[in-house]
Amino acid sequence: MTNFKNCIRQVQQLNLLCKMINFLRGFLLILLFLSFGKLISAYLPIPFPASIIGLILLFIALSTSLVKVEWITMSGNFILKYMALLFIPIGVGLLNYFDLIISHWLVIVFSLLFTTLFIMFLVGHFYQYLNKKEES
Amino acid sequence: MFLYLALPLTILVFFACKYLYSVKPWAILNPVLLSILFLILLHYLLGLDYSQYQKGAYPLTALLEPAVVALALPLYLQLHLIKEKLNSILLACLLSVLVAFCCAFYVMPLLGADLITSASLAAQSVTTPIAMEISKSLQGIVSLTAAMVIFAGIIGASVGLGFLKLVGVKNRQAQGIAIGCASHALGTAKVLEVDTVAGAFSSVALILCAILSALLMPLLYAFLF
Repeated sequence: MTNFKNCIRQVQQLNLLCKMINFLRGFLLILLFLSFGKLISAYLPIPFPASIIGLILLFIALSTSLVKVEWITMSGNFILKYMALLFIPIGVGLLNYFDLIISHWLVIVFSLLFTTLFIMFLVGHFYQYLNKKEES
Repeated sequence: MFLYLALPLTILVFFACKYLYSVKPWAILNPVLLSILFLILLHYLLGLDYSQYQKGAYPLTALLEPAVVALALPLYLQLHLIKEKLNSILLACLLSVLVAFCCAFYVMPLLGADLITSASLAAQSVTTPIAMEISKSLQGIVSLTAAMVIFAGIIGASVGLGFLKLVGVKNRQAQGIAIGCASHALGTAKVLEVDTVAGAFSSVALILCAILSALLMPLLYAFLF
């Protein structure tokens, strides 16, 4: 019986190890595509975010089955699930810009309310119109 | 000392706020907003040094770039949805990017915004890491952009669906696209709670808007200013 339990524990440990390797592989793949992006971005004549180039490259690699989805599913989902956390340090950086925010408060409030709702209104109706045209 | 506390403190505050939001899911109690406010308050009350905090929390900031690359995953998984309506989605996202750009650079100066402020506002509808990259390439203030993005997300998540119904956007897909374009990931999370189809369209729109903004805004800026 103890032998059996030992065996189960070993399998569980192996399973954990497999998951960790799987996670690491996905994360390293994502970093690899990010560095491709950085390389290309360094040679582009216009400033363009390296991370977006990495995104597009990874998407192409996934579509052409160069990279299998299951290789990056675990780490990709993990990093996306806690993506919100990554914004916090930059948000805290706002405390350096209090003067700026106070002096521009009208623009900031107006931009938030007007632009956000205006985009929603326009895009929503535009897509609805395109959809109806396509159906008819 | 604070250098080493910054990272665990940020994670702790975030998960505490997340828990609070799960108990009381009000839009105003958004975990990101609440964490930022709490940490700013802490800096003020205890007289902490932000440069120390920034250094200590750097691992989180550094992970933003891989997070953007990881967005390829949902884009790939929703490929069948995009293919079917690709033209309409692309046109809608293009409209959204142009409207956001014009609002920031042509409407906001009427209210007294200078070029730096306009550049910081231009990417407010795009998901944060990409918005910050765009803001950087337009010479805007990255921190201001990050805050604008979060506020824009909270507006979309809280009043977005109600507003769209009020103005007559009844189509589920259109609602998803509109919120994805205007309120990125925060809005998308809210839409996903209500309707899966709208949620899928919202995430496609948020990714396409981000890519189109990152492609077009620096170009438009270089041509026009």
